[in-house]
Amino acid sequence: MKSLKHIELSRDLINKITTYFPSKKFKSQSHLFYEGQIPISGYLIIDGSIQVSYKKKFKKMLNAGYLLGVSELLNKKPIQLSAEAFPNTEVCFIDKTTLLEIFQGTDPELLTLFKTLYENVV
Amino acid sequence: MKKDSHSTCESCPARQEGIFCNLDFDDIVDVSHHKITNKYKKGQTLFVQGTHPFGLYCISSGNIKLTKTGVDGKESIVRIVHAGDIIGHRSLFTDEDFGKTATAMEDTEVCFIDKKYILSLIQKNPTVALNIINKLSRDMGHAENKLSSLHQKNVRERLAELLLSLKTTHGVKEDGRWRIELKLTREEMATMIGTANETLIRFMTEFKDAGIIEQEGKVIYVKDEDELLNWANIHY
Repeated sequence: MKSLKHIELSRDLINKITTYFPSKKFKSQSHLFYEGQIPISGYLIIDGSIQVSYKKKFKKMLNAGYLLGVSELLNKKPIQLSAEAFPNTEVCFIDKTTLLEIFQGTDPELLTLFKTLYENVV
Repeated sequence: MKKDSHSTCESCPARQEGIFCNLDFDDIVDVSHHKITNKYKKGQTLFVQGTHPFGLYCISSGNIKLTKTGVDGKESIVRIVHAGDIIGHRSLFTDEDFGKTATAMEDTEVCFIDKKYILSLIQKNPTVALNIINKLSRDMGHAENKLSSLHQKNVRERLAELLLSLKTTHGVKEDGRWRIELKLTREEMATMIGTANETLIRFMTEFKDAGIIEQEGKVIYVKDEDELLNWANIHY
Protein backbone atom coordinates (compact mmCIF):
# COMPACT_ATOMS: atom_id res chain seq x y z
CA MET A 1 0.00 0.00 0.00
CA LYS A 2 1.20 3.49 -0.82
CA SER A 3 2.13 5.50 2.23
CA LEU A 4 -0.59 7.27 4.17
CA LYS A 5 0.10 8.28 7.74
CA HIS A 6 -2.87 7.16 9.77
CA ILE A 7 -3.02 6.22 13.43
CA GLU A 8 -5.65 4.91 15.76
CA LEU A 9 -6.29 7.11 18.79
CA SER A 10 -7.54 6.46 22.31
CA ARG A 11 -11.03 7.63 23.35
CA ASP A 12 -9.55 10.30 25.66
CA LEU A 13 -7.47 11.77 22.87
CA ILE A 14 -10.45 11.70 20.50
CA ASN A 15 -12.54 13.61 23.03
CA LYS A 16 -9.77 16.15 23.45
CA ILE A 17 -9.40 16.69 19.69
CA THR A 18 -13.16 17.20 19.25
CA THR A 19 -13.04 20.13 21.65
CA TYR A 20 -10.68 21.91 19.24
CA PHE A 21 -12.12 20.84 15.91
CA PRO A 22 -15.74 20.59 14.68
CA SER A 23 -17.15 17.22 13.68
CA LYS A 24 -19.74 16.82 10.93
CA LYS A 25 -21.65 13.98 9.35
CA PHE A 26 -21.39 13.27 5.61
CA LYS A 27 -24.89 13.10 4.17
CA SER A 28 -23.72 11.55 0.92
CA GLN A 29 -20.67 9.69 -0.37
CA SER A 30 -17.87 12.20 -0.75
CA HIS A 31 -14.21 12.20 -1.72
CA LEU A 32 -11.88 13.63 0.91
CA PHE A 33 -8.98 13.67 -1.56
CA TYR A 34 -7.95 12.08 -4.83
CA GLU A 35 -4.65 10.42 -5.74
CA GLY A 36 -1.82 12.93 -6.03
CA GLN A 37 -3.58 15.58 -3.97
CA ILE A 38 -2.64 17.23 -0.70
CA PRO A 39 -5.48 16.81 1.82
CA ILE A 40 -7.13 20.17 2.56
CA SER A 41 -7.72 19.10 6.17
CA GLY A 42 -6.76 16.36 8.58
CA TYR A 43 -9.56 13.89 9.29
CA LEU A 44 -10.42 12.09 12.50
CA ILE A 45 -13.11 9.45 12.05
CA ILE A 46 -15.62 9.69 14.89
CA ASP A 47 -18.14 7.23 13.50
CA GLY A 48 -18.54 5.28 10.24
CA SER A 49 -15.91 4.42 7.62
CA ILE A 50 -13.55 5.90 5.09
CA GLN A 51 -12.44 3.84 2.13
CA VAL A 52 -8.88 4.21 0.91
CA SER A 53 -8.15 3.17 -2.67
CA TYR A 54 -5.40 3.25 -5.27
CA LYS A 55 -6.18 3.40 -8.99
CA LYS A 56 -9.83 2.73 -8.16
CA LYS A 57 -8.90 -0.50 -6.38
CA PHE A 58 -9.85 -0.97 -2.75
CA LYS A 59 -6.89 -0.83 -0.35
CA LYS A 60 -8.13 -0.32 3.17
CA MET A 61 -11.16 0.60 5.25
CA LEU A 62 -10.52 3.04 8.07
CA ASN A 63 -12.99 3.10 10.95
CA ALA A 64 -13.74 5.20 14.04
CA GLY A 65 -10.69 6.43 15.92
CA TYR A 66 -8.40 6.77 12.91
CA LEU A 67 -6.64 10.03 12.22
CA LEU A 68 -5.35 10.68 8.70
CA GLY A 69 -3.99 13.43 6.50
CA VAL A 70 -2.45 15.60 9.24
CA SER A 71 1.21 15.12 8.36
CA GLU A 72 0.54 15.53 4.62
CA LEU A 73 -1.45 18.72 5.29
CA LEU A 74 1.31 20.26 7.39
CA ASN A 75 4.07 19.20 5.01
CA LYS A 76 2.06 19.97 1.85
CA LYS A 77 2.85 16.43 0.76
CA PRO A 78 0.61 14.80 -1.87
CA ILE A 79 -0.89 11.39 -1.09
CA GLN A 80 -0.81 8.75 -3.81
CA LEU A 81 -4.10 7.32 -2.61
CA SER A 82 -7.67 8.49 -2.63
CA ALA A 83 -10.06 8.51 0.32
CA GLU A 84 -13.83 8.49 0.23
CA ALA A 85 -16.27 8.91 3.12
CA PHE A 86 -19.47 6.88 3.18
CA PRO A 87 -22.84 8.45 4.00
CA ASN A 88 -23.44 9.06 7.71
CA THR A 89 -19.74 8.94 8.49
CA GLU A 90 -18.94 11.48 11.20
CA VAL A 91 -15.58 13.13 10.76
CA CYS A 92 -13.70 15.74 12.73
CA PHE A 93 -12.12 18.28 10.37
CA ILE A 94 -8.65 19.27 11.52
CA ASP A 95 -7.91 22.61 9.90
CA LYS A 96 -4.40 23.91 9.34
CA THR A 97 -4.85 27.22 11.20
CA THR A 98 -6.02 25.57 14.44
CA LEU A 99 -3.27 22.96 14.08
CA LEU A 100 -0.64 25.69 13.87
CA GLU A 101 -2.21 27.34 16.94
CA ILE A 102 -1.85 24.03 18.82
CA PHE A 103 1.84 23.98 17.88
CA GLN A 104 2.19 27.30 19.68
CA GLY A 105 -0.10 26.30 22.55
CA THR A 106 0.27 24.69 25.93
CA ASP A 107 -1.52 21.35 25.61
CA PRO A 108 1.41 18.90 25.87
CA GLU A 109 -0.58 15.80 24.85
CA LEU A 110 -1.93 17.27 21.60
CA LEU A 111 1.34 19.02 20.89
CA THR A 112 3.22 15.71 21.18
CA LEU A 113 0.69 13.89 18.99
CA PHE A 114 0.69 16.39 16.14
CA LYS A 115 4.43 17.04 16.39
CA THR A 116 5.13 13.31 16.09
CA LEU A 117 2.92 13.09 13.01
CA TYR A 118 4.55 16.15 11.48
CA GLU A 119 8.14 15.10 12.13
CA ASN A 120 7.67 11.52 10.98
CA VAL A 121 7.14 12.65 7.45
CA VAL A 122 9.72 15.36 6.98
CA MET B 1 5.74 13.92 -7.07
CA LYS B 2 7.72 17.04 -6.33
CA LYS B 3 6.85 18.54 -2.97
CA ASP B 4 4.61 21.62 -3.26
CA SER B 5 5.21 22.04 -6.96
CA HIS B 6 2.09 24.13 -7.38
CA SER B 7 1.71 27.78 -8.23
CA THR B 8 2.12 30.53 -5.67
CA CYS B 9 -0.36 33.37 -5.10
CA GLU B 10 2.29 35.87 -6.25
CA SER B 11 2.45 34.25 -9.69
CA CYS B 12 -1.17 33.08 -9.92
CA PRO B 13 -2.60 33.92 -13.37
CA ALA B 14 -5.92 34.72 -11.71
CA ARG B 15 -4.50 37.00 -9.00
CA GLN B 16 -5.76 40.28 -10.47
CA GLU B 17 -9.30 38.93 -10.69
CA GLY B 18 -9.32 37.28 -7.28
CA ILE B 19 -10.24 38.46 -3.79
CA PHE B 20 -6.60 38.89 -2.76
CA CYS B 21 -5.70 41.33 -5.55
CA ASN B 22 -5.36 44.29 -3.13
CA LEU B 23 -3.17 42.54 -0.56
CA ASP B 24 0.39 43.74 -0.12
CA PHE B 25 3.27 41.44 -0.97
CA ASP B 26 3.91 40.12 2.57
CA ASP B 27 0.26 39.14 3.05
CA ILE B 28 0.14 37.48 -0.35
CA VAL B 29 3.24 35.46 0.56
CA ASP B 30 1.57 34.44 3.83
CA VAL B 31 -1.60 33.32 2.00
CA SER B 32 0.62 31.45 -0.44
CA HIS B 33 2.36 29.57 2.39
CA HIS B 34 -0.90 28.71 4.08
CA LYS B 35 -3.08 27.62 1.15
CA ILE B 36 -3.26 24.10 -0.22
CA THR B 37 -3.13 23.81 -4.00
CA ASN B 38 -4.50 20.78 -5.77
CA LYS B 39 -5.13 19.69 -9.30
CA TYR B 40 -8.49 18.13 -10.10
CA LYS B 41 -9.05 16.00 -13.18
CA LYS B 42 -12.19 16.26 -15.30
CA GLY B 43 -15.14 14.82 -13.39
CA GLN B 44 -13.55 14.94 -9.92
CA THR B 45 -15.58 16.72 -7.26
CA LEU B 46 -14.30 19.48 -4.97
CA PHE B 47 -17.29 19.12 -2.69
CA VAL B 48 -20.67 17.45 -2.72
CA GLN B 49 -24.10 18.97 -2.09
CA GLY B 50 -25.08 18.50 1.55
CA THR B 51 -21.55 18.37 2.99
CA HIS B 52 -20.26 20.93 5.43
CA PRO B 53 -17.99 23.77 4.28
CA PHE B 54 -14.82 24.52 6.18
CA GLY B 55 -12.97 26.78 3.81
CA LEU B 56 -12.82 28.73 0.61
CA TYR B 57 -11.81 27.49 -2.84
CA CYS B 58 -10.02 29.87 -5.24
CA ILE B 59 -9.91 28.79 -8.87
CA SER B 60 -6.47 29.22 -10.35
CA SER B 61 -7.14 27.66 -13.75
CA GLY B 62 -9.85 25.68 -15.53
CA ASN B 63 -13.62 25.57 -15.29
CA ILE B 64 -15.80 24.14 -12.55
CA LYS B 65 -19.52 23.52 -12.75
CA LEU B 66 -21.79 23.98 -9.77
CA THR B 67 -24.75 21.66 -9.97
CA LYS B 68 -27.82 21.14 -7.88
CA THR B 69 -29.51 17.77 -7.72
CA GLY B 70 -33.27 17.84 -7.27
CA VAL B 71 -35.41 15.37 -5.33
CA ASP B 72 -36.01 13.51 -8.60
CA GLY B 73 -32.24 13.03 -8.96
CA LYS B 74 -32.07 15.43 -11.91
CA GLU B 75 -28.93 17.53 -12.01
CA SER B 76 -28.93 21.12 -13.26
CA ILE B 77 -26.01 23.45 -13.76
CA VAL B 78 -26.47 26.52 -11.59
CA ARG B 79 -23.24 28.28 -12.43
CA ILE B 80 -19.87 27.79 -14.13
CA VAL B 81 -16.86 29.30 -12.42
CA HIS B 82 -13.40 29.87 -13.82
CA ALA B 83 -9.97 31.32 -12.98
CA GLY B 84 -10.20 34.18 -10.46
CA ASP B 85 -13.54 33.03 -9.07
CA ILE B 86 -14.07 31.74 -5.56
CA ILE B 87 -16.51 29.08 -4.42
CA GLY B 88 -17.75 27.99 -1.04
CA HIS B 89 -17.88 31.54 0.34
CA ARG B 90 -21.66 31.75 0.67
CA SER B 91 -21.95 28.52 2.65
CA LEU B 92 -18.88 29.51 4.64
CA PHE B 93 -20.38 32.71 6.00
CA THR B 94 -23.88 31.33 6.56
CA ASP B 95 -22.45 28.13 8.07
CA GLU B 96 -24.94 26.14 6.02
CA ASP B 97 -24.12 22.91 4.19
CA PHE B 98 -23.08 23.20 0.55
CA GLY B 99 -26.20 23.67 -1.56
CA LYS B 100 -24.41 22.53 -4.70
CA THR B 101 -21.84 20.05 -5.95
CA ALA B 102 -18.65 21.43 -7.52
CA THR B 103 -17.16 19.30 -10.31
CA ALA B 104 -14.12 19.98 -12.49
CA MET B 105 -15.13 20.28 -16.17
CA GLU B 106 -11.53 19.84 -17.30
CA ASP B 107 -8.14 19.63 -15.57
CA THR B 108 -8.21 22.48 -13.06
CA GLU B 109 -6.00 23.94 -10.38
CA VAL B 110 -7.72 25.02 -7.19
CA CYS B 111 -6.40 26.52 -3.97
CA PHE B 112 -8.05 25.91 -0.61
CA ILE B 113 -7.88 28.20 2.42
CA ASP B 114 -9.47 27.18 5.71
CA LYS B 115 -12.24 29.24 7.31
CA LYS B 116 -10.30 30.36 10.38
CA TYR B 117 -7.48 31.76 8.26
CA ILE B 118 -9.88 33.59 5.91
CA LEU B 119 -11.72 35.18 8.85
CA SER B 120 -8.48 36.39 10.45
CA LEU B 121 -7.30 37.69 7.06
CA ILE B 122 -10.57 39.64 6.65
CA GLN B 123 -10.11 41.22 10.10
CA LYS B 124 -6.61 42.29 9.18
CA ASN B 125 -7.43 43.32 5.59
CA PRO B 126 -11.01 44.58 5.13
CA THR B 127 -10.40 44.89 1.37
CA VAL B 128 -10.65 41.08 1.19
CA ALA B 129 -14.18 41.36 2.66
CA LEU B 130 -15.03 44.11 0.16
CA ASN B 131 -13.85 41.92 -2.70
CA ILE B 132 -15.95 39.02 -1.41
CA ILE B 133 -18.98 41.35 -1.12
CA ASN B 134 -18.31 42.46 -4.68
CA LYS B 135 -18.31 38.85 -5.88
CA LEU B 136 -21.45 38.04 -3.86
CA SER B 137 -23.23 41.09 -5.32
CA ARG B 138 -22.34 40.07 -8.85
CA ASP B 139 -23.46 36.49 -8.18
CA MET B 140 -26.73 37.82 -6.83
CA GLY B 141 -27.19 40.01 -9.89
CA HIS B 142 -26.62 37.00 -12.16
CA ALA B 143 -29.04 34.89 -10.12
CA GLU B 144 -31.73 37.61 -10.34
CA ASN B 145 -31.23 37.96 -14.09
CA LYS B 146 -31.45 34.21 -14.53
CA LEU B 147 -34.62 34.02 -12.47
CA SER B 148 -36.33 36.76 -14.46
CA SER B 149 -35.16 35.17 -17.73
CA LEU B 150 -36.72 31.85 -16.76
CA HIS B 151 -40.00 33.63 -15.98
CA GLN B 152 -40.16 36.23 -18.71
CA LYS B 153 -38.25 34.91 -21.71
CA ASN B 154 -38.90 32.10 -24.15
CA VAL B 155 -36.41 29.31 -24.89
CA ARG B 156 -35.01 31.08 -28.00
CA GLU B 157 -34.26 34.21 -25.98
CA ARG B 158 -32.78 32.23 -23.12
CA LEU B 159 -30.51 30.28 -25.46
CA ALA B 160 -29.33 33.52 -27.10
CA GLU B 161 -28.67 34.94 -23.63
CA LEU B 162 -26.68 31.85 -22.62
CA LEU B 163 -24.54 32.02 -25.77
CA LEU B 164 -23.85 35.72 -25.13
CA SER B 165 -22.91 34.99 -21.56
CA LEU B 166 -20.58 32.14 -22.60
CA LYS B 167 -19.06 34.43 -25.22
CA THR B 168 -18.32 37.00 -22.51
CA THR B 169 -16.83 34.55 -20.03
CA HIS B 170 -15.17 32.01 -22.33
CA GLY B 171 -15.03 33.67 -25.75
CA VAL B 172 -11.85 34.02 -27.78
CA LYS B 173 -11.87 36.22 -30.89
CA GLU B 174 -10.76 34.17 -33.88
CA ASP B 175 -11.06 35.09 -37.58
CA GLY B 176 -13.90 37.54 -37.04
CA ARG B 177 -15.94 35.21 -34.87
CA TRP B 178 -15.97 34.22 -31.21
CA ARG B 179 -14.89 30.72 -30.28
CA ILE B 180 -16.46 29.55 -27.00
CA GLU B 181 -13.70 27.82 -25.10
CA LEU B 182 -15.98 25.63 -23.04
CA LYS B 183 -17.23 22.27 -24.15
CA LEU B 184 -20.71 21.69 -22.83
CA THR B 185 -22.89 18.73 -23.63
CA ARG B 186 -26.40 19.26 -25.01
CA GLU B 187 -27.80 18.04 -21.68
CA GLU B 188 -25.72 20.56 -19.74
CA MET B 189 -26.76 23.44 -21.99
CA ALA B 190 -30.40 22.39 -21.77
CA THR B 191 -30.36 22.38 -17.94
CA MET B 192 -28.72 25.81 -17.94
CA ILE B 193 -31.71 27.36 -19.72
CA GLY B 194 -34.36 25.12 -18.19
CA THR B 195 -35.51 23.27 -21.25
CA ALA B 196 -35.58 19.77 -22.71
CA ASN B 197 -32.69 18.37 -24.70
CA GLU B 198 -34.76 18.04 -27.89
CA THR B 199 -35.93 21.67 -27.68
CA LEU B 200 -32.37 22.88 -27.28
CA ILE B 201 -31.22 20.91 -30.35
CA ARG B 202 -34.08 22.40 -32.39
CA PHE B 203 -33.17 25.95 -31.45
CA MET B 204 -29.44 25.38 -31.98
CA THR B 205 -30.28 24.32 -35.53
CA GLU B 206 -32.37 27.47 -35.96
CA PHE B 207 -29.45 29.64 -34.77
CA LYS B 208 -27.09 27.88 -37.18
CA ASP B 209 -29.51 28.21 -40.10
CA ALA B 210 -29.81 31.94 -39.36
CA GLY B 211 -26.01 32.25 -39.54
CA ILE B 212 -25.73 33.49 -35.94
CA ILE B 213 -23.59 30.61 -34.72
CA GLU B 214 -21.46 27.88 -36.20
CA GLN B 215 -20.43 24.55 -34.78
CA GLU B 216 -17.34 22.46 -35.43
CA GLY B 217 -17.53 19.27 -33.45
CA LYS B 218 -18.28 20.29 -29.88
CA VAL B 219 -16.94 23.81 -30.35
CA ILE B 220 -19.46 26.63 -30.77
CA TYR B 221 -18.59 29.87 -32.62
CA VAL B 222 -20.61 33.07 -32.30
CA LYS B 223 -20.65 34.66 -35.76
CA ASP B 224 -23.14 37.47 -35.42
CA GLU B 225 -23.11 39.03 -31.96
CA ASP B 226 -25.51 41.89 -32.84
CA GLU B 227 -28.14 39.51 -34.10
CA LEU B 228 -27.64 37.33 -31.02
CA LEU B 229 -28.34 40.42 -28.87
CA ASN B 230 -31.56 40.98 -30.83
CA TRP B 231 -32.61 37.37 -30.40
CA ALA B 232 -31.81 37.54 -26.68
CA ASN B 233 -34.16 40.51 -26.41
CA ILE B 234 -31.68 42.37 -24.24
CA HIS B 235 -32.18 46.12 -23.96
CA TYR B 236 -29.49 48.13 -22.26
